[in-house]
Amino acid sequence: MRASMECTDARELLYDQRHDRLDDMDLVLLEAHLQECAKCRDHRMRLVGMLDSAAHHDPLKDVAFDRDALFERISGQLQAPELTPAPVKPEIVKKTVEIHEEYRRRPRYGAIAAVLVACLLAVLLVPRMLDDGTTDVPVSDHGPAMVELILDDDDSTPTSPAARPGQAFEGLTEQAIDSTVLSVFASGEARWRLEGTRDLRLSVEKGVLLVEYVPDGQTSLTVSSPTFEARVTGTVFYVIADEARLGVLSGQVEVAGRTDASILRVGAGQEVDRTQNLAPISPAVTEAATKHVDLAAHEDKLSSRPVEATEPIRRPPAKPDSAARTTSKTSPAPPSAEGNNIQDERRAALSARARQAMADRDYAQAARHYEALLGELPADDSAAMTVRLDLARLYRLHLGQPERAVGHLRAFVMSRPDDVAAPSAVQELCRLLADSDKTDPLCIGR
Amino acid sequence: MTQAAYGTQPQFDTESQWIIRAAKGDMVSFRRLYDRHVDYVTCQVARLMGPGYELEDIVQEIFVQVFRSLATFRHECAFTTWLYRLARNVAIDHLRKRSKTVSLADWRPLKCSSQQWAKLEARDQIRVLYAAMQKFSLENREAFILHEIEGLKLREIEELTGESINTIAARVRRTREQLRGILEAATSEEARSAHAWQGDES
Repeated sequence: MRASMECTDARELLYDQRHDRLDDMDLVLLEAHLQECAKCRDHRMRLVGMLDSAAHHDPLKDVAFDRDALFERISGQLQAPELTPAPVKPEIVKKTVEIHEEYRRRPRYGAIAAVLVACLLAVLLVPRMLDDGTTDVPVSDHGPAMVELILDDDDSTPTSPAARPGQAFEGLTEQAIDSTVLSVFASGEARWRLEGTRDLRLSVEKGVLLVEYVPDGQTSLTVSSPTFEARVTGTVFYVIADEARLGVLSGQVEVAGRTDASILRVGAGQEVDRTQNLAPISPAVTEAATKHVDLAAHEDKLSSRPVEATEPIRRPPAKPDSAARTTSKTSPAPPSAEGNNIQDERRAALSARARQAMADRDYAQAARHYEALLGELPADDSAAMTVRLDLARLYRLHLGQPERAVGHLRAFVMSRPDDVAAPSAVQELCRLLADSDKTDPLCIGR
Repeated sequence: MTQAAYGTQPQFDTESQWIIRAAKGDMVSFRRLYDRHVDYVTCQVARLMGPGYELEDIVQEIFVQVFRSLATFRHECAFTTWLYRLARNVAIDHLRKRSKTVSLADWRPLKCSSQQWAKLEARDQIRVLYAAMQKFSLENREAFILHEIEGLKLREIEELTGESINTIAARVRRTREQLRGILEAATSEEARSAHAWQGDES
């Protein structure tokens, strides 16, 4: 007997189990999986232990302060005169304005170029440090984003740290570009251009750019400058380079050298500096950058990418149910590594959207996403079987379409007769058929 | 303190009246609001920030801001909702300014064996959880705490925070995935250590 549930799914369901939000079928599947999987049992013990401890803990027990005394201090602070700035002499104001005007008139190419150079240097140095002289270009097949850097040999670039964190992002303005996947924010002095429709090429000659890239699975992005070229593939990420650092605000980026097999993984909220140290992004940098790009909105865009709208769904060649038997018998050519990445991405996006729809109680939408996901998965894949059970539950409990639930249950049982969930599925299948005065060979003797 | 000590009439002792009076500078009414809500505020801030912070100063700052902002309260939402949003803003601001450094001692229990974990005290488990949550964005962390620890439904969190339910759901989901990754990484490390240890034995 084998557990039909993947560990990832089981660990996700642990949260719902903890809140008693699992329906009977999921509960049975989960318990069966836990019975067989020691790692997931350990995961549950740790996860539930931590969450329950925190939930049952009364934080007030740890609070030692005297509430009356605290109120006295609050009152004292409120009644104390507030500090007000001393009046500023008019001549000082005039001088300040003059300096400001002079600064505005003066070209700031030097400062901006220094910041850009610092940004680029960060991108340059990381892969150089990783370079071990091999010629293979590493391609991530599991990371959500990949930055591949192609370097030139010019290492005479001077460095100049920005005056303070986040300064590089001040004064950026969003540029009007004809792209649905790209948003570019540029400094006033920036010189750049965007070419291509699917193979996008962003060339930066001068200035500071902050780029938000939300790929749709059909586009690729290459960013180039006089001193480096970065090809961006995979999913979505931000690269914020500031003060000779490469920072990631959302998602995860894997940085690799042109001739290097090793990968430096930079997560959200992390910067990598020229000494290859990972450090948290300073709040000032995050704050400055997020004035231009809303991270929550960005992640929402990721989860609602129009994947199936732009890419035809490729059905797997063989299916155990009758519907599948009517499809073409021609097997698709084995996908390339890049194709696999795109396919994984598409599946992940569909799965995320289905879960989101479930959370929103938009069950019809959830069913559409799950059906699309099913179409993306090989017929005999265990994940496809899980999706079938999800769909059966959706159609049965939420959408009032028992005939569709029957189809998925039957397909599941036919494909996985020895699965631990098969008896429950058969029972449910037969009950649904009996409700509509129908029968099935699977139900004989029941 | 009794009502008489405050010198207020019973018929005016509703929270709305306290708010109106406190907004005009009446410290007696403000004290009543403080008494009613200080535990709620402290509890929410403690949950959001986790162990290891001096909450007294933060609670003080929150109530100072409450007093100064009461005139802006329009009764368009529950007072506790308004209070929560103000408190979380102060707490998050504080967390941004002084992010806690996670010590190895905070992490160590996560890498212990299953048997050792089962014997851990609740407070140690909480320390591990908050050490892990240092890796989450503050917005994700807030959504996760409200949903998984406070047990609020997404709709309730939507009302409390003013964020859309989709955003909240996405934050909870992302945080779950992050926490799963942290646990998996820690347990695989623990398994490697155990394996190495067994190899040493042999």
